[in-house]
Amino acid sequence: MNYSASPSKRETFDRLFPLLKGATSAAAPMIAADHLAHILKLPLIEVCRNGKLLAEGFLKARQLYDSDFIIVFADVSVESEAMGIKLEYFHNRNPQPVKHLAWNELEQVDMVSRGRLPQLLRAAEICREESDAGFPIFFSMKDPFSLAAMALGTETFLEKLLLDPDRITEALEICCSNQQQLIAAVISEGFIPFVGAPIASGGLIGAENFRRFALPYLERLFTEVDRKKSFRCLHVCGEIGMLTTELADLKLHLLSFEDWHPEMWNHLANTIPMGFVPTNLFRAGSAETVREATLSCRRILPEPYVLSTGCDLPANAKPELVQAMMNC
Amino acid sequence: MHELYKQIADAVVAMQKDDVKRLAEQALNEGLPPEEAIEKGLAAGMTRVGELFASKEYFVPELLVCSRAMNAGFDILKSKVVEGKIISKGTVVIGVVDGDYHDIGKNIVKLMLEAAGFRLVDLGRNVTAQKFTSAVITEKPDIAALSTLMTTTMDSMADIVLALQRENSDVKIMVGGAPVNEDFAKSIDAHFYGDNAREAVIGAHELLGITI
Repeated sequence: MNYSASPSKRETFDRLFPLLKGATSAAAPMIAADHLAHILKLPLIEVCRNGKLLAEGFLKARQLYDSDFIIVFADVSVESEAMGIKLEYFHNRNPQPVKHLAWNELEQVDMVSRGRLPQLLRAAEICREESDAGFPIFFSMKDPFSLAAMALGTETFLEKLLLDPDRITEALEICCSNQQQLIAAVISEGFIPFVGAPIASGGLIGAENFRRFALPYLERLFTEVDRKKSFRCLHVCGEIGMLTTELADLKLHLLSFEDWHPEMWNHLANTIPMGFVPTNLFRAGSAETVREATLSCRRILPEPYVLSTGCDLPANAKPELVQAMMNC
Repeated sequence: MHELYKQIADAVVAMQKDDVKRLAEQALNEGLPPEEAIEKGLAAGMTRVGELFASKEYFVPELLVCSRAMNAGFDILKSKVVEGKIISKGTVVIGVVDGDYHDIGKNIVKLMLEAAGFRLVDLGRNVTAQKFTSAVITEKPDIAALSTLMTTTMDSMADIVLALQRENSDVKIMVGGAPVNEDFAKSIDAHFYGDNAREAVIGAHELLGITI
């Protein structure tokens, strides 16, 4: 694979999706373990911690939706669990934190061997084995800011941003170090890291806090990505319009989002946009409303782009509605 | 208006918990009515915080720290309030829907509604339809406020709205949370959708026909 430090958007697209070389778009929904359990007709508690079942789900979803790529993801708690938070598992609901970490319990750990991460990596491996060479397998992971918030408890963490920034910085250093180790392993295994920032969202923390507390650690993760000649792929939940400068500074190869700001893309000319069909349509919408929203995305996304859902599909998303998006 | 009330409000907006506590004590020492200090000082401050949040000058971290400052003052003043002096604008039963444990949004809306003069009954997280309907029977609220952060649990929200309407068609239902929008709220027959805590406060007033 040829690597250029500053590729054009076209070059990036062709490297990311070699099987679609020259195409103007790729497409796949973003899926978590809960929807996989739904389409496998199995309890989530079995699927979300079993690499083989996760892979079975992703491969079934790929076939069902004719996806151009897979993003391996179970739920938002995978890495905070690897760092030591206690989760409670439910038959058909996502696992929930029972106890967050105390500040002095945050530590550097061997992420890839802990919690469910070995199962997630196994799922990615099986997906690759069952796919054609060049079929992209992304691996979802959190940015250090969101991971720290999830490990310590979001409310506590966000309060401390203002009240005890030194402590926040210490926490971020530890989380960043752990994620650098994970991202290196993900890339070494041949997967593409897909960094999600659910808490480092503009609407939650604003541009100033993002620039001070989230951006530097994202940049450090992506420096690791550059060293290993992979891709700077980021998903930001919620509002992103106010983060234009910061996101431009990250020189992303791909940005996944749910909040469309056309003017922003003047500053992200070399970034592939990925999005942003509203997820709630897949639960209560009709094939027609999904088609309308999809066509609207296709009309405005600058090529080449990735058509996807704005965030993860609802657990009980109707497959025929996902197919309506994919066939559009 | 007494200058001290303005100082209390300013200290809430400035996130200065110690100043809020000191000024609340001062208000009591000067013989000012505590309910007035709550309304014209603490609540007025939180109203401004809500406006700053709505205009995207403040974000969740600022909102949390301001509310802690407000609560510190409230703890001092409330013990001296003569019973009946604070008239509630209405009762709101609030909770995060079944299957969802993310309560940061719910907590912020709760704080803002309390600051605006509503009585809040907090049902917490992962609240089932049955728990919501029981609370509606026992608390007789004017409003039921439902929150969810996950697309996964939007079905639960729809189920709870249905159950509440079967139980008590008079209770007004407001919904909010990251995946929720106006269209979704309409589709499940909720009476109001709020995009943020400030809108929730405005909506609660509107639903009950109260002028802000």
